[in-house]
Amino acid sequence: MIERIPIELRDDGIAIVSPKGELDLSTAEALREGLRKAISVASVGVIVDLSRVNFMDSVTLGVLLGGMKKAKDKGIEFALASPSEHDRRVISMVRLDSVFKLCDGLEEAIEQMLSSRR
Amino acid sequence: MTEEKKEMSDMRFEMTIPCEPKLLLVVRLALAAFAATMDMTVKAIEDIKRAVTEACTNAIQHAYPNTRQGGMVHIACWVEGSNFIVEVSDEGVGMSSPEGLGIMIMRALMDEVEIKVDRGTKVRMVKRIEIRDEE
Repeated sequence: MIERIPIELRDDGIAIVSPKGELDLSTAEALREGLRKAISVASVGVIVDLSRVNFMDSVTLGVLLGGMKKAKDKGIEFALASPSEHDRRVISMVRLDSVFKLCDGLEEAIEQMLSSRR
Repeated sequence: MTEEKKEMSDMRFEMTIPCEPKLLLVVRLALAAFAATMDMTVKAIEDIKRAVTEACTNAIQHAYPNTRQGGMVHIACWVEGSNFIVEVSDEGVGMSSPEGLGIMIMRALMDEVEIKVDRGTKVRMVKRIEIRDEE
């Protein structure tokens, strides 16, 4: 259970959202609010760092999809970094791997986001 | 099957929770622990946790639209032969259209998914038991 999700705004205009633990219906509102804040402050893109997340359900995927759409409406990038092996499998099973930008690590996500802007 | 596993396979584990999203974590922990006693693989346990979360979330969000405080969700699991069976049921308004990402995930992760609507909704899911390799 999380009350507020850490958000870091980098100098390069990328905002990193770092949820932790198991994400489900009980954490959906906090995640939605975290994404909203990150999108409002980011000028290049938002990366959701999932390296400390060990469970995601369909409600969470829905919130992430909503965040991705809002980022797109603002004209900034959106990516998911380091999803767990199990979550990546589910994302692939429901064919969201062609919808989300998935990166194996945070550094890779940052590098790709910055290079796509050059 | 060893004698100990035979005894475990006769066991039925049940829990009833109110429609409180914070209890989804408790349901996952309990089910994972029960499945682990059956020596199921980590992958199978993760699949069951995800599928049951989807079924419970569906009930919490939709079963009792007018009186959420009074609604309860019942989870039962047991083993039959080489099948791990879990049922999630409620006595609220029946599931109107079994569509959506949650149902898709349940069907992708479990070997069988059956949804019955009759004075509530009962979701019955089956996972074939894959035993962990002996170390």
